[in-house]
Amino acid sequence: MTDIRPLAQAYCDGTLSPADAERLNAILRDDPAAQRVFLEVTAVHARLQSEYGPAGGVDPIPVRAVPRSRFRVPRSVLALAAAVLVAVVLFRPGSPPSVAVLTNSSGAKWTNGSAPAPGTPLYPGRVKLDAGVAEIAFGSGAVAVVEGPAEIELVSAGGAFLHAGQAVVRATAAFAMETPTLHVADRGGYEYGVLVEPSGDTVLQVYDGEVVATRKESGDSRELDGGRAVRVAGSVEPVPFWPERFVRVLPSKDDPTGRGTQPYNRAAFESVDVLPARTPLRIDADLSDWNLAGRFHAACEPPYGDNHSVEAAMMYDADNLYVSDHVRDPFPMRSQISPREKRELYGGGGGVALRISTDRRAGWPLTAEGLPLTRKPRSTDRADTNDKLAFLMLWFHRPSEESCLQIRYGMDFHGGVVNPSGYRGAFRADPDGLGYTLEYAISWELLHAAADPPRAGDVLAASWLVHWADATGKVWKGQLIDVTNPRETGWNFQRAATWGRAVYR
Amino acid sequence: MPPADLPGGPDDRFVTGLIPLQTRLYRFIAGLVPVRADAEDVFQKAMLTAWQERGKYDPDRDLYAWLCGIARNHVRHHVRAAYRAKAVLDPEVIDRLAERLIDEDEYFQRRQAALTACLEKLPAKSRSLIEEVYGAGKSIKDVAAGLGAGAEGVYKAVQRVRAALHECVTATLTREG
Repeated sequence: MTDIRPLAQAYCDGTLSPADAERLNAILRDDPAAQRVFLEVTAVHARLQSEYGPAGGVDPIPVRAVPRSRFRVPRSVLALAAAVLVAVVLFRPGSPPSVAVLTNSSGAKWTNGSAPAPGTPLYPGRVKLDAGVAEIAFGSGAVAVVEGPAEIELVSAGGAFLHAGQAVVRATAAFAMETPTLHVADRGGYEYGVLVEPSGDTVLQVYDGEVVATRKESGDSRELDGGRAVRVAGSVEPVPFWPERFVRVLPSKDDPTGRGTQPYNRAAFESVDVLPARTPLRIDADLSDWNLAGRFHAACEPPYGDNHSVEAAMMYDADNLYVSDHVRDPFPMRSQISPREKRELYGGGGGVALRISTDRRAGWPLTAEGLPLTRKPRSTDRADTNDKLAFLMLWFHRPSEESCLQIRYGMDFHGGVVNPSGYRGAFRADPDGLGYTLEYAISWELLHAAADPPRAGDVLAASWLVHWADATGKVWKGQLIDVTNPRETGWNFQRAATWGRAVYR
Repeated sequence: MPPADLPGGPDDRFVTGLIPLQTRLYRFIAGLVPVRADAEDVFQKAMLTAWQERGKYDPDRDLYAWLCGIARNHVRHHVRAAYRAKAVLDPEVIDRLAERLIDEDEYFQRRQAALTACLEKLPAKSRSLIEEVYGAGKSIKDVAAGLGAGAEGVYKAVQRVRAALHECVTATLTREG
């Protein structure tokens, strides 16, 4: 066997000949032992670089990328780095008059990482909210409830520019709201919601009063009164009025149910009934052939509960487990996460996740655990590898319009497969475009239970999750978890004991 | 899973977690991209990405592993561009090496710990050579000229010191089991 150490040394010094590079490629491609030795050698080089570097170490977080420069930033500024713009807007002390006040917030994550308290004055300029909901009271008396992710520019005490995201405006006096495509004006006494999509399309929905919307491009305007909604793109199209489209009111501080940090629920169910399918189900996301007697309904907590909810059910026969969900989602079926992308998690763009055990011997509750989360795993730690425990992710990839499935097995998440053969899935958008239904048939073989599938009378483990994302289909917003074991604590992906019961009828 | 909002805000916690990992992350990169200017470039880009994407970091996951994932992507981009310009190692091979480095992190961290002791035992002559070569950011040719030696000889000398450190680490781990 070739000693690759001299080759690794030459690689460190940049003196590798093309022939040597070819040899190294061939040796390293599939030989873990050679890879290890190679990395041992380059690690020494890397250490010497970091230890004896010109500035005695490594740069902290850069203010901006400065390729190939020696630009260095003292550590003391790093918490401020990259956030300077927003910080100036939010917390400029003193002199110029503020135009608004932050009156309340719920789970708000501001782009600059600050945590302004209610009562903080706000000055003209842009404010970015990464997540959560914030209530801003303008000098004119208008109140805007902004839901993150959003970017809003405070223009004056009587006006704002919504660059991205969504806000609900309520006022008794005139207020001017602008978006990239639209001017919204009024004479007071109204409430409306406005959403600026990543594409620049604007959705305007009027709850109360009369609002005049003017398209910037053409200058044509129309009046909209309560109970109407339009989408403004190339043209102006009416869209369904859906009261729950926007978060309109923050939960009050005293509201015991108002955790309100992100779309999130308090699990209510310990078990789900899995009903027998007498004839194979058609996988078309039309649930008229389902027996929905085992269906459960779960919703997120305020202020999200009305537009983030799920109705979920399972059925089974000798060949398949059937899963159906009807999910209310302001941005349904938009996931940009490609099944062809190699990654660990595919739910970031929205979808439904399941934890399913088909281990008839283990029954319920399970004891299997993964690697510890609260400390660094030791070499003696072992995650349970039972491959009758499956982690499923069901999502709709918008660009290719595929109904996708990822499965990983065991508490060590081994054997991950994406869109394997042996399943069928279908998605269907709600008629109002504000939710979706999914239906999947997943073969027992895929769940490693072909030899001994679950039977009537079995009580096995399962748990249900729904993920919501933002309008881009890329940024995860929050989740709902239900069918859990209330006697256990911990994370469902680390402790299978937390999973609820799947009762096969 | 409600996000745990600890005092100080999520960004403070992110930064607090990040600072002690920066050197480790730099070594991760420099072990794959040996030219210092390139490694620093990749490191800066990775740091910037980490900062921009910090909202996506799940605080219940290992931060170092998350950072390695970002760094691995930047290494991949860098190596692909470099590979087009000049044949070095196959970008695919380097990505597999990155994967191994992540998978066997504990092993390589143990080696780094042993290396600390080995560096302390480094003879004065070797140390001054290393300081000369790694310290000033000079090219080996410049260092050789300064020492009145041939570049070839300086390469060999540096490689001997690194080989000795490598052996010292291996011996330490063998002793410790």
